[in-house]
Amino acid sequence: MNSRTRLGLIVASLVIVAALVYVTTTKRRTPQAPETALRIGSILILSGEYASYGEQFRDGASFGVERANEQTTARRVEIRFVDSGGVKEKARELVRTMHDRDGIRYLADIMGSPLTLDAAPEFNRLRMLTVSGTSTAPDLSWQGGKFFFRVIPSDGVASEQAAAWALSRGWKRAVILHDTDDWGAGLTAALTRTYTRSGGTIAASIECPKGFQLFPSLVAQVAAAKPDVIFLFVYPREAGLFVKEARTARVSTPIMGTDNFTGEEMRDLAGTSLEGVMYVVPGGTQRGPAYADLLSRYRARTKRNDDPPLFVVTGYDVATILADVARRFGEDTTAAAEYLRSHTFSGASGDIAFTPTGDVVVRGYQRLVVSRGPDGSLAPQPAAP
Amino acid sequence: MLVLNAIVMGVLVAFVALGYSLLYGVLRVINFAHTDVIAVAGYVCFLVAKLSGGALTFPGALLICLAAGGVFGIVCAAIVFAPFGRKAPLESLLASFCVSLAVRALLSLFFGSATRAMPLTLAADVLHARRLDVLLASIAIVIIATLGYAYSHTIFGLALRACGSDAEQVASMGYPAQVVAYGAFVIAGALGGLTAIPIGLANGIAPDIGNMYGLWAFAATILGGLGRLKGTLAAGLILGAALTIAARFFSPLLVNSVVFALMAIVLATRPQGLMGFVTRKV
Repeated sequence: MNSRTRLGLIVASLVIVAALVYVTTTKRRTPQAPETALRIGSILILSGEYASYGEQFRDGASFGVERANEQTTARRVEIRFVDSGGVKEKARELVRTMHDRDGIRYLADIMGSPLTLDAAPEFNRLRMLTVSGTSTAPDLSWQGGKFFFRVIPSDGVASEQAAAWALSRGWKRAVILHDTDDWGAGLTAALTRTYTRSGGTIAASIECPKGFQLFPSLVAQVAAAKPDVIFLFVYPREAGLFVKEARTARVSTPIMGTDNFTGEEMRDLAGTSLEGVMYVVPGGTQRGPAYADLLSRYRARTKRNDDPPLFVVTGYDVATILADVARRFGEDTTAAAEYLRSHTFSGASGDIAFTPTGDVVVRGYQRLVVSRGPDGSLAPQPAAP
Repeated sequence: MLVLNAIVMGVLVAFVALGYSLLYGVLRVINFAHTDVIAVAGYVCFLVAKLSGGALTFPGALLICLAAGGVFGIVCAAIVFAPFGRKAPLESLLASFCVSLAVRALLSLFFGSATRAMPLTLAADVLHARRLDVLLASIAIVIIATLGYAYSHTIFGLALRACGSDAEQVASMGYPAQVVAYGAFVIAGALGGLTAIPIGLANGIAPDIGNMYGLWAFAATILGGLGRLKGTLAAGLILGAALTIAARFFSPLLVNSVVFALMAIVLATRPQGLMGFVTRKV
């Protein structure tokens, strides 16, 4: 190769490199850049014992954003999921980071009532509109602030439903086994009020911390109170292990719960002992038109023929509502909050409207009993009236 | 039922504590990664069950847990003991912390942090009639009796005891002190591994499943007297009974307070532990 050819090759290489640099750098600066998309943040628990709940919500919210982007050619919406690990301080810091660094003004959930309660002053100060699909603590109705909304009813409502169901069966003596956090304590206080007001007696209210290991003794303590019904307001791990141990010890007292019984960990740990367990979950039998869309996306993703769990549905609804208001109001979250209070949205769980305190207007509750289907497998079935 | 629960709990705590005590007694090593053997053995069962496409039988799970515990013991020996020997107990202690953290992180990474059911098939009548608890307690008593006999009446037991007194002297007499050290780790690991079955059945499998048992077992080791196997066994049974009674008659929140209160009382009145002794250099 002579020197002229070599020179030609060098020049050609330089031209190619320059062209590549130009193309890649100019592409980054085009107006179609991702920063033009509307961003929604989502602070979930994606690690630790309760990650399965976070994953359910994340899947539902992803489906909701997918649908919102497919339906219209308006500004694209992106959702950014981050993991709080269930730590209050981290969740609060993530709220600040999302606002200051990422310019996020809308939050699709801060998973966990204790975390939401802790972060409420911060997201209200920053005017970040937060819609939750998982936080059920009654305190959030008055401590959530004017930028807080939720598509899942407060535990106050859940406890009324559970109490009414138990009393309608003639079960007037109850034991409550509950977690020590804000969620467990709030639900216990609400149920105790409702149950005793309607003529029931709480024989014992026992705290069960997360990670508890001595279930044989705990079951013996609960059984010794001779309850007609046991309310379990603990997380899925503890609920699953308690149910399994209770049935192993031949304690046949009815066991009731709320949405905590929808966790996959509970199903896995309790196994066949789950038969006969009863729980109440929000949402009537009426489904919104969006439910068919959610169902098809969920089944395509999971390759299973079952219905999406509660937090997939609430995640979907939260994401579609936020995508709608974010497109309408952009950074004006005060106007967006007013709009939420005055409009009804059509979600997968039916029509969704909010009260002045940001609580969802309750459409109804389902009473479910885990029982064997025709194929012999255990699944939640609507309770007989 | 309460008595049976207390015995099973006591035996579980004692099994884990015996591992701590054996390692300290023979090698003067406190291995904080020891209780992670419960999670490791549990996940090995889980993996084998998944690969074989079904749940394990009880004897199968027993063998797998023994083997997994033994192998984990060898790994611990290679990382925690071999590089430092008996002369750097602080470094060994720190290395055992590192192994513990690494094991939990790896298990979380591969299996997730959710608690999973132990993949073990048991006949419903065995499970419901509490025969499993009786079976496990019986197996535990046989193992403890065998180990006790081997410790006091066999050459290997003699070597273990001799290493506990003066390892250099043992080595200078031509006995393979390093093999004895690895043997102690294997026995400790296998004992811990065995507990994966009852603990996994009662509490599921999770990367941090050994946390509380580790705490209780360490308390039992100190209560019984560091390195005193009979003391550890007795302390484990006492702690098991105390834990069971606390959870049955008081708040579950008080369970750990009972353990620490017992520890405080014993340390205040007998700092060397229930069956420990004070050594004086002359």
